[in-house]
Amino acid sequence: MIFVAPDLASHETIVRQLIRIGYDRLNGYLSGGLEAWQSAGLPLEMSQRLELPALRDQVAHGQGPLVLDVRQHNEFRAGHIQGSLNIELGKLSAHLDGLPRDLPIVTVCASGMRSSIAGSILQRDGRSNIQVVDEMGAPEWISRGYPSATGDEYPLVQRPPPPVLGGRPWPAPGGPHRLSVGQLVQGNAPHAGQKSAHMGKESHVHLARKPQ
Amino acid sequence: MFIEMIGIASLGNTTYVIGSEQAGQCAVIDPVRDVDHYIAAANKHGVKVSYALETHVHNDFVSGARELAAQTGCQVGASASGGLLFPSLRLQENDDLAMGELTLKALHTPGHTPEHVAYLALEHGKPVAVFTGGALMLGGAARVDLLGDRLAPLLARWLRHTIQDKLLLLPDDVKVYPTHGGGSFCSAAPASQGGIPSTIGQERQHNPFAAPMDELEFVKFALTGLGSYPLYYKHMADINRRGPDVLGGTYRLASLTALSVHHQMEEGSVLVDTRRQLEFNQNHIPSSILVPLNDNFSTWIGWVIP
Repeated sequence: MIFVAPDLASHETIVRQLIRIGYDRLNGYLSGGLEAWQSAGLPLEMSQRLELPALRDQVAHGQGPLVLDVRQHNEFRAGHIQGSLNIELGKLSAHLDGLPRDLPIVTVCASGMRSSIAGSILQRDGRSNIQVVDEMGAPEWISRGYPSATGDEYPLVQRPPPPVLGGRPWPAPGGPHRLSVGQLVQGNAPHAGQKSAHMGKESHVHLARKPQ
Repeated sequence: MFIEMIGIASLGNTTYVIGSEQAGQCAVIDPVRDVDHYIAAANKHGVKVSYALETHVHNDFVSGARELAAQTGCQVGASASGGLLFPSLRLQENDDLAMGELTLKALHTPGHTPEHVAYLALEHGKPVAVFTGGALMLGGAARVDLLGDRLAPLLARWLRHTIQDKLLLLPDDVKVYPTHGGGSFCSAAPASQGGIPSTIGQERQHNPFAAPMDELEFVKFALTGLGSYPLYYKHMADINRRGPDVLGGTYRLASLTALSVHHQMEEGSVLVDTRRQLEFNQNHIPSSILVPLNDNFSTWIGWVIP
């Protein structure tokens, strides 16, 4: 990972924040920033920006763009641009194949930050018909009285629970045996030599309670 | 006895340094990997770091406990049933860590995770503070669904037991110091971020998780309204259980020329533009990903960069 970051203080913040979540090998930063990039004869590009009134005009005249709301689902449900599609920013990369390439897409969020991040992801995906609402967003749209809706306008797919977080190789090679949930619930004695992997006795008594 | 709170805004968490100046010792509870702040806090009080304590196997960050142990020679202490694969004190219910007039007592407080412990601080034997991790937050509790939807109802039942039959039995004036705050995606409900510490009495009165509820009501409540969480979470527990690599300190980013950056991008490196969105949208390097540098920087990096 390489960074465009203005100053040394920001470099320190980047390293601190990222080692906390396990990014240990960061390549570095672009020395001289965008000026150095241009001086090397390399190209720059811009994002197409869109303001809310212009978006309303496009939507009102039919044949509008696909309005992509990248806020969290609970924010979307609380109120959104009528007819907009909700894909949380964190899930956008997983949905790129399904987003049509021939349809203009406008990204929106609440403040313009997540929509701009989404715009950068879509542009990186090779799309040129992306517009970004990068100042304000759905809440301002609603407060201006533009057409809006709450909840999910159409039913969502219902599925069994997703796979377990943190799936890992099993059994853990060389690791100590760990208690299964069943053992904890039933308060079973641990296997011989496994005492250290066992919580205090008192908690087992309580945890063994059946639902009332 | 002293307690220093060190907020970790990028995670919505708080780390605590608690110690005894008379004994010349302190413990750091739920440290992150840039441990210099804790060492500075210990130095300020003229004490050495004796323990790096975990309330649980974290899902939202890489623990700094091992880093702190490597840099200070302290011992890592964690719940025995967390199954850490590196040397540590394996703490069980009612295990005491004594530091002069101060004693930290491990309480098994399952819910957010099954092995979760809280640390009750006693001063001359009198309970004065409890470090609750995610078991009890200010006006909330940490979510029970991070280890899979199938386990969540079971963990919710344990959480009720933890809160109602264990933590709320503590005296009203015991101060509550949670690790997770409202800004953490580990939070189940919008808990307040300021106001640390709260007290057991305040939480008994105002925390919806402390309201009298039968088991079924509680489980429903604990499983309602949970949003999505960053993708990087799925790697954290495994790293923390195996033992994160020791960095030996933070480091500087290397300076790269434009042509080198261009070359590395062609080789597959991702270029992240950390400027504000309006600057980025006016002018940026093709194929770069925008992630503005603010308190949510690492969250979005962990969420959008595969």
